[in-house]
Amino acid sequence: MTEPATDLTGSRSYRSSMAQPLRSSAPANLADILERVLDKGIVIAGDIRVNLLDIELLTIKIRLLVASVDKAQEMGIDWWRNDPMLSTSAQGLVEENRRLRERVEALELESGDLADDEETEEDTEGETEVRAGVPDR
Amino acid sequence: MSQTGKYLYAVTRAPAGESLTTGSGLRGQPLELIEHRGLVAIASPVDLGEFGEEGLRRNLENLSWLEEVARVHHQVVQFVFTAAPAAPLRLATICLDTEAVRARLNTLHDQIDAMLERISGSAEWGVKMYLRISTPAGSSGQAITQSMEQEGRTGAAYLEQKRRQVNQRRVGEEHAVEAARSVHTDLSAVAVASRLLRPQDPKLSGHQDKLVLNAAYLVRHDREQEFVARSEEVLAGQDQYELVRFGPWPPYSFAGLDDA
Repeated sequence: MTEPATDLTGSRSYRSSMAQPLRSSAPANLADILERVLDKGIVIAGDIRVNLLDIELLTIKIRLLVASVDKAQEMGIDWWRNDPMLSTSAQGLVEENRRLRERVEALELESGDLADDEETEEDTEGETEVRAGVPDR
Repeated sequence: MSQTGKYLYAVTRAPAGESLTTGSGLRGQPLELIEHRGLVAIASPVDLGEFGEEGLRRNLENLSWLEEVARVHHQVVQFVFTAAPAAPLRLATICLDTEAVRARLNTLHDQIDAMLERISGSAEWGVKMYLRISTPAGSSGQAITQSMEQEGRTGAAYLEQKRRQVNQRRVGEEHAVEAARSVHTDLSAVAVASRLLRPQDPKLSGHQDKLVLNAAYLVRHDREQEFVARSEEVLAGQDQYELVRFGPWPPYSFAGLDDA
């Protein structure tokens, strides 16, 4: 993930200097952030209506995830990215990788029959890059 | 960017300080200050393709998208909060234009103003307390069971031992609930306000340690040291518990408009 503005996080030191950092302090993990940004704060009806039913379903889903990793503080930022079962985009990538592997194997078999191996390999790589980029969009 | 809207992060009081405009929000867009009757909303433009009703419905279900937006939202709220007393808005509050934001500030002016008064000069601290299952107070005593089996004890004795262990654990948990209540009372005494948050279900965690307290405290800046010190001392010598604390945070849990 890109850090959109490092000066934002840098400004925290102003406050943390007020209290000594102590051994039991934990860095804010995603579970704690989500618990608050989804559920707390001022609720104002904006012009863009977010379906509350959807949000509630989402919140329940997040709760399950939050609970499942609550003690895994060391996982910090990537806690659901690392588990293909929990991340929709990761699931897409797993599937994408599987298809790509099959395709590469098929192409390798084909290329065995061809005289010019090098050119075929290049084609394969080019296609791999393009296809692997798709889930990110 | 096609059609844009204003994504709102937080509200503070005027003057908000021009330094806030040096920050950036979602997708690197510059922060904007929208002022009305002494209140200032901190916003940034967002593409309504991504943050419109249809886009949100789709994107909110995408956990990677949600993670990124939640983190930026939190960073901006933190950034504003370090400069002035500020209240966060819930994730994904979006108006069509500046005038629409002003209309909201106008309608909710008194409620928002009163809430900012309540949180002014304070920050939120989160505290979670766990009962360690691996310690005698919470343990299942597996080692004892094994040694008994090796000694060839009878099934009845085994069951009796098992029953005692279950009982021990129950008593351990009862003590933990008492200890948690006492911790909460102690910490609340240093705080302006406190909130008990929903417990996170240990059955789902795969970790055996039992969460016995999940709470948020609104603490005045001049009592932070005291709060931190008390949270350090409150469970001293009781190794069966672990206390995890974080802060200072913007007062998410205390920014409700109906809390007066």
